[in-house]
Amino acid sequence: MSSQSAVEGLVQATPASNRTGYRSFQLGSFHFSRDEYFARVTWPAKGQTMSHSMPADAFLRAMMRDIAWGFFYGLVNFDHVLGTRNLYGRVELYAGRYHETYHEKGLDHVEVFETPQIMATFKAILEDWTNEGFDPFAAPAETGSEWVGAKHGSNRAAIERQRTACKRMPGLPGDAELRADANGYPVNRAFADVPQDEPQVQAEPGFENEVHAFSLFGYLSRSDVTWNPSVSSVCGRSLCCPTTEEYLLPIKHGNDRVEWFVQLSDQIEWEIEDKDTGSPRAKVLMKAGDVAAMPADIRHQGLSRKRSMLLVWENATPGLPDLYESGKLKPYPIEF
Amino acid sequence: MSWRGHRYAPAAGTPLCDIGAVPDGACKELRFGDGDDSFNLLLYRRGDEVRAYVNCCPHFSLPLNAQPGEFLLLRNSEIMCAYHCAIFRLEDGHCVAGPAEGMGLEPVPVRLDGAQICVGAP
Repeated sequence: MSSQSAVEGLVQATPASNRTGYRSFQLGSFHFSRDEYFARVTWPAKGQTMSHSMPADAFLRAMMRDIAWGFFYGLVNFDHVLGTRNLYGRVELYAGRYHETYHEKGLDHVEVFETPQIMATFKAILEDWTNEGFDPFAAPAETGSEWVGAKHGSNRAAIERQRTACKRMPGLPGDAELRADANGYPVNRAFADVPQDEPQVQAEPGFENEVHAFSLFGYLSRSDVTWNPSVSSVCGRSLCCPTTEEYLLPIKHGNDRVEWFVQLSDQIEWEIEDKDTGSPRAKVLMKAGDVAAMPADIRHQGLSRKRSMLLVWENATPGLPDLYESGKLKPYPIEF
Repeated sequence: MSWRGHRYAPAAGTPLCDIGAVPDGACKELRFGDGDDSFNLLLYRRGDEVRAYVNCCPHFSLPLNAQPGEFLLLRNSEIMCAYHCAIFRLEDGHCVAGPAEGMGLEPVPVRLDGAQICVGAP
């Protein structure tokens, strides 16, 4: 890659299908198409064309997170076959690479793309394949089955909604606003019992502008998305990214660093697998108050039977992935 | 906190580099101080005009580049954060797409003293 990359976001797409109304997309050797129920991806391997299908709603939910997170940290597995790996400036798109059998049999395929190119293509796919009334950020109970069937309309408002970030902490002058009815964040149906009063701050004279607090539970109770962290405090490289979770984490996330989970309410069942092969490693049931350090060599997927609150604590230190990959750091924070 | 409050922030009048050191339509990174706590400055040149920003994406407070000196420029007028793809207009630092939408890069005033780029006055 040149140091001053000027890759245009070229998107290769077919005209809309006469039968379904959806367009198909080509990205390198990968081909993406969808029909009434399924998203299908094909790739070349051993002189033949391999294919893999996913339910279209699961595909769209996964792609929504991948786009919203900007390919996030490490691996974003759409399922056990398809996914992306963020190389920070470039992105690896793979099929079967982190599936033991596909990989061993040589039926996997990996291509690396300049980030703007794959981002533009993914955004075009998401926009074309998301029907009116379907919100890939919402829990199934909050969005219907509008993802089913031939193309009907679109939902740009849902897929382009602003993501919440902050410089220091929401509510500080010049920083992100606290959530309220007035700015479009009503209390979610699952959190009607969460108190909405803010903390009382009584600063000593001279410290009036140096103390700040807000109700994290109140803030989270007004989250309008699921499984999508929003930065709620920044202290150096320490990022608190709390989120609300319902149903299924749409991806299997293989982080390139240790990340800490603090279960703030209700519970989440985590399925933990080896990052490279997908072989099962553990199931972890986290209840309110439980804390876990997700190692840097696993992938995880959460199941939340009721909307719950989770604090994800990230170490954003640049260069951290190299320290884990080189073995200079162990993939877990402590040794028993 | 404004960038001027950073312990390694260069003072007004500090010479940064010759304008010829920044290729036309490209970016250059300058660092002040050592280690993780260094102050990182991003210079962008278009013809005879130079813009400067704190090299810190307001999304996750990370540098815009993952590798030293490597920036993802789009259409020679926008920069994409290498980490999570927020896109900023280099003309004014405004985020036009991605996870920092509605936010912006923190500008640093600069002026030309002959061919020398210097930190401007507040």
